[in-house]
Order: sequence, then C-alpha cells, then structure tokens
Amino acid sequence: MRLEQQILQLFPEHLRFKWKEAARLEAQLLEIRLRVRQPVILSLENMELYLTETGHLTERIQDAQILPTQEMEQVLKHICRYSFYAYEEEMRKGFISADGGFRVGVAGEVLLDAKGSIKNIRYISSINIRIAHEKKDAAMPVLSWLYHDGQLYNTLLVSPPGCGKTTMLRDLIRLISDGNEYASGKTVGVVDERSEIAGCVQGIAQYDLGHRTDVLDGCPKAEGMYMLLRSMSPSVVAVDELGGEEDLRALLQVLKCGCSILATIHGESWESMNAKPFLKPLLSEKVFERILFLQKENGNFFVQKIYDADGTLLTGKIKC
Amino acid sequence: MLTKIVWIFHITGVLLVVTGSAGLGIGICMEQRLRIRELESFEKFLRLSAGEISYGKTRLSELFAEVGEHMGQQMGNLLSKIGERLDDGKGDSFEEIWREEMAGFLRESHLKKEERRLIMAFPAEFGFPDVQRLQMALERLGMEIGQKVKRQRQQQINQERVTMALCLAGGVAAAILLL
Repeated sequence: MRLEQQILQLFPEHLRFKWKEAARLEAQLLEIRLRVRQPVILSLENMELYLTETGHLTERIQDAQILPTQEMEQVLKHICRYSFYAYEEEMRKGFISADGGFRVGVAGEVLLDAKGSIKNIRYISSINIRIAHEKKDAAMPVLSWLYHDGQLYNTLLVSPPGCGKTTMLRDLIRLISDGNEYASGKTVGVVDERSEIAGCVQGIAQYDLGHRTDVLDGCPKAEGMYMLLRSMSPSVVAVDELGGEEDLRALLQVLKCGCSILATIHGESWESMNAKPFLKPLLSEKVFERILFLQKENGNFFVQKIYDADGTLLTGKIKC
Repeated sequence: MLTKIVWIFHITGVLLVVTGSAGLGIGICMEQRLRIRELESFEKFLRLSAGEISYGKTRLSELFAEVGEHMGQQMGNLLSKIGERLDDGKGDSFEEIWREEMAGFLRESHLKKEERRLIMAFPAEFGFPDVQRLQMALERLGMEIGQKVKRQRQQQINQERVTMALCLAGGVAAAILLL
C-alpha cells in the first residue's frame, strides 16, 4: 500500500477529504501534530504547514483549522480501532503503534496508581503522528564498513530523534537478511517493541525486512532478546532504541551466544554516549565494533561519522 | 344424505379449529424457545469476548472474527461481518456498524423490546480504556443475560403447558360455539 493511502487510513472516512492534500506529501511529511483547540500542524523538512478547514495546506497560521475536541476523539478512536483497552500498555508508555508502523505519541491527563506509577492517560489533548519511512538501499553505502570477512560487526546507530535511525536500521536488517555483496543472507531476529521497525499488522511485517527475518512484535526488548535466543537461533539480533540496564544485560547474553548485535540509541556525539551510565560498560568493554552517528541536513540523511570500538574515526560523511 | 354431509363439514371444521389452536400454541412455545436460544447465543458471545479481551487484549475487529468462528451460523456470520467492517479501513465507527448490522439481525429476532435495547446498547460497554473494567462490564452483562435465560428455562415447561392448554381450550370453545 502506498504511503499516501496509509496516511489517509489513519483518519476516519468522513475526515479523509481534509487529509488528501496532506497525504500526497508522502515521505516529505515527518509529523502530524494534532492539539485540541489548536491549529493542525504538519512538520516537513525545515518547515511547517498548517491544515485549513477545507483540507488545503497553508503557511499562514491564521488560516489554519482549529481542531475541535470531537474531531480529536474521532481520530484517536479510529487509530485505536475503537479498542482503547487493547492499547492500555502502550498508552502507559505514552504512545500507540498505529497500523502501517506509524508511532502516535499522546499527551493528556496522566492517571497514577497508588504506588505513583503511570496507570493510563485520559483526556488526550495532543497527538503526534510520526510518519514512518521506508528507504530501500539507504544503508548500502555503509555496508562495506560493517563487515569483516563476511562477519557483521556489532553495530550501534546513534542520532538525535528524526534523523533516520529506524529507517537505517530497517534497511540494514533487510540487506543483512537477504544477503549482500559482503556476506550471504543471515537469520535476523528483530525485537520490535514499538512496532516501528516492521510496522506489523496482526503479526505480519508491513515493511520489507528480508527473507530471513523473524519479528517479535510489541515485545519488551530485553525479554524479546532472550526469547529470540531460545527459540529462533538468530545470527543477528536487531533492536531499536536501547535504554536501560535490563536491555544491557540481555545484550550481553546475546553476545555470549555468538550473535551479532544491531542496535540504535538516541545521542548526538561520542561524549553524549559516554554520559549515558548504562552504556558506559558496553563502550569500555568495546562491545560495539562499529558506531555510526547519523545526521540530517537539508532533508538528506547522512552517516556523519563511523567509529570503531576504540573510538577511532574510520570515515567521515557518507550520504545515504 | 345432506345432513350427513353437513355433519362431515362440522367435524372437519371442529378438527381444523382445534388443530389451528394447537398450532398457535406450538408456535408461541417455539417462539419462546427461539428467544431463549438467541439469549443464550448472546450470552456465549459476551463470555467469549470477555475471555478474548482478558487473554489477548484482542482488538475489536479480530475479536469479532475470532468469536464469530465459535458461534452458530447466523450469529457467527453476523459477528464476522461486523469484524470485517471494522477492519475495512472505511472509518465507520463501531457504534454505527453495530447499530446497522444488529438492526437487520433483530428484525427477524424473537427477543423482547427490553432485550433488544440491551443488545443495541452493547457498544457503550466498550468505553472503558482498560481491560479489567471492560472484562468486568462484559461479564456483568453476560451474567445478567444468563440469569434471564435461567429464569426463562425454569418457567418454560409450565409456560408451555399453560400456553398449550389455553390454546387447546380456546380452540375447543370456538369449535363448540361454531357447532
């Protein structure tokens, strides 16, 4: 299904006329931000557009549609397929995984339980729809840096949000799984906690992740990595956005089993990586043999720098 | 000869009246049985749904498809159709789909007005944002219908006897009057 169609399907039918022009932007569209009683904002590369009442796009905020509460409810209900209860866990984490691999961030009144942990979010007043992008062969230019004698290096992709980590990871998974000029195809196990990598719908990946890829959809990363090791004997384990001690322990277990790791993390520089306490042991143990820093300039994705495990700069800018 | 023919007509008339009234009685009893069967079917749907939701947090479209497979043909087809419509991406709300599909189903149903109202209001149960409360709501509704079924089953034998007796008595009375 085309991205335009996927974007349109995020909205109930009676509202789709309004979103046709916006959906035609396809890959140019990065985010759709809906806020109750505020203008509808579309984030594009280096600019913002506003949606008018009639569905046209404008640069003038005065002409933008002010989103009524009812419309927000309708969109949210539709995204959740009228099954709020099914998204309870995700809501607790602040996002919903919509069909097509779109991540929908939510904000509203947070409900806490007796222990002070987040129970749910109600009166949702803002949603941020992040448009998922599939860019085939985006990872091709960096492949030569990631292999040694047909063996994949443990690789970490680092970038600030919105700079193409997940897009790059998705394409790397596909190329590793299908095989490429540096190595034959390998079994890749993917733990897709937020359903962003594969964009699974009823367990079936909507993106091309290659012929030898097994996806654990909606599964917590650490548990997922253990499960894959036990059941699917992967050669490579891929996870998005490492973020805690538990992930670290699971990662070490994966390495002990002789699998290669492909992971992403938020960050901007080598220094910012060292500032993350949970990551320090991995860096000092030189677990990651290749660290790629991604960046975006004028709408184009770049691998800004590639380092080896010692922190030696291997290469500079590579356009993806 | 003429008297004999008249008597044959009289007897045939009596038999037809009595048979007709017995048929009416059977019809009323059958309707009652079908009503109970429909209530049982709806109760089963609620219990299966509560199980599916608590076990797999299954989304509505999948829930209807899944539960539809375990139901009888008529109800099963209806639920599968609702599931398909929820998943067709057209964006019709669950309330709309349920109302439209159920209206067709209830046209040929034997349920009472109160029971129809209960079924039509079913989507309101899905307003809960958490599994636990939704499960409780569905189980409560299932229990309510289950108790209705139980009460009806207990009364059924007596009611059928009374209905049949009244219909037959009515038929015989009508026959005597006709004679």
